[in-house]
Amino acid sequence: MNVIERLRTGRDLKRRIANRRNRLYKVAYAWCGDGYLADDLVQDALARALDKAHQLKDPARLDSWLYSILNNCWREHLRSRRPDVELDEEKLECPRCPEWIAARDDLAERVQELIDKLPMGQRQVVTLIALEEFTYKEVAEALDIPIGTVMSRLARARQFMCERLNAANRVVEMPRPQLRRVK
Amino acid sequence: MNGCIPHPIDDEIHRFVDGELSAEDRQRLLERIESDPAVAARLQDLRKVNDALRHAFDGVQPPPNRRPVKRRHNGWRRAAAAAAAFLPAGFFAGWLTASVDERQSQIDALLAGGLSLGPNIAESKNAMFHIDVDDPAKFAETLDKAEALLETYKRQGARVEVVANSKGLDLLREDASPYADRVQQMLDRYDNLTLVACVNTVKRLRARGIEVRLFDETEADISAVEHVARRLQQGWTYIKI
Repeated sequence: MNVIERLRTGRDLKRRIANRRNRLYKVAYAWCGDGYLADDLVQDALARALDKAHQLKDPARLDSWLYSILNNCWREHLRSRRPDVELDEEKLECPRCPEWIAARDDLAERVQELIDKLPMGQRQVVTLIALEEFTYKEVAEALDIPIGTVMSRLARARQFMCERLNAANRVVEMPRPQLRRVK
Repeated sequence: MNGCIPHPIDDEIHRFVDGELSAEDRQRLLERIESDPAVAARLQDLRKVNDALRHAFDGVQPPPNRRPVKRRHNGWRRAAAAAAAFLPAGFFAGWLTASVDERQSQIDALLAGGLSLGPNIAESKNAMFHIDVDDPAKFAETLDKAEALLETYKRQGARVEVVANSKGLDLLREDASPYADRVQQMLDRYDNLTLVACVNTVKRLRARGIEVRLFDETEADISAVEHVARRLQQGWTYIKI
């Protein structure tokens, strides 16, 4: 590969890295539950990736490489200060919104809260698989864990979420009115 | 949801959901789904979890575009030198005999008085306890204080780390800790508690033929001092036991 081709390839790769921002953000947000922190993590991950772009030998593995960098950034921040968010105060009433929008937002909020309750390892695995549609192998590479661990964490995370969502549904399900023929 | 009851072939159903099965296995499972309502129900449950997850983060967007900036290299080496030079001691005099209010004020004093180099210490309740001696009384003191902090600042999401190196590593050793049961109970109880072991110490012990078994959840950093220094840069309070 001559110099010009190498430069072009490098530039293309950097553009691809920068274009991953939205996707990285979504996963970072799922991991940390904090928009500002997620943005910082992604910025840091992108900056590191751009610095190290020349180290990526196989461009086909860009995604697992990028998420492994994001994972490193996240681990470094893992126990750093998180701003207090009183979720109850954030739940603003919106009487003019159609009911179905409210219901949809409730579900999203509930799921995000559940994700927050998962142990970090499970949270990372389940979000990479559900949001990024990573293969088990890609998750294993990104998080530097064995595939067996990916599968066991995934199974535990899904079971936890399934049970909690199921329980929540039972609570909100109202008895259906019985129609009776009146003579 | 159909009750979320795990199925004996759960593993295969997960892999089906995630497109991880070979064409042959996939076909076999499809046939089983037709004939076995329990498999079909389980598949539906797992797919619903996936759908709920995707939906929950559907609208999540980063704030308006920021250009990636060159990473700043924090001066953790300077911080390491500072940490080594100013190890505070004696924070816990009279702790065990104090009332709840007194303990609260002691915790406040501890957080205010502990060594910190980061900019956010006024707001940060994150603290790390550093132990490097194998004194059971100090182990107990570490766990007492860690637990008190975790309880006191539970609602604020305070993070607490117990960083151990040298002979203090015994506290984090499942096979040697005099408080193994208590440590495990605390790990089970507090998500915000992390144990951090110094890799250099573990390596030294192994080089001497000592097999080290740490608690499962223990994290490792190459050097305790570097770890402490990094945390200080992030605004954590450092408390030497």
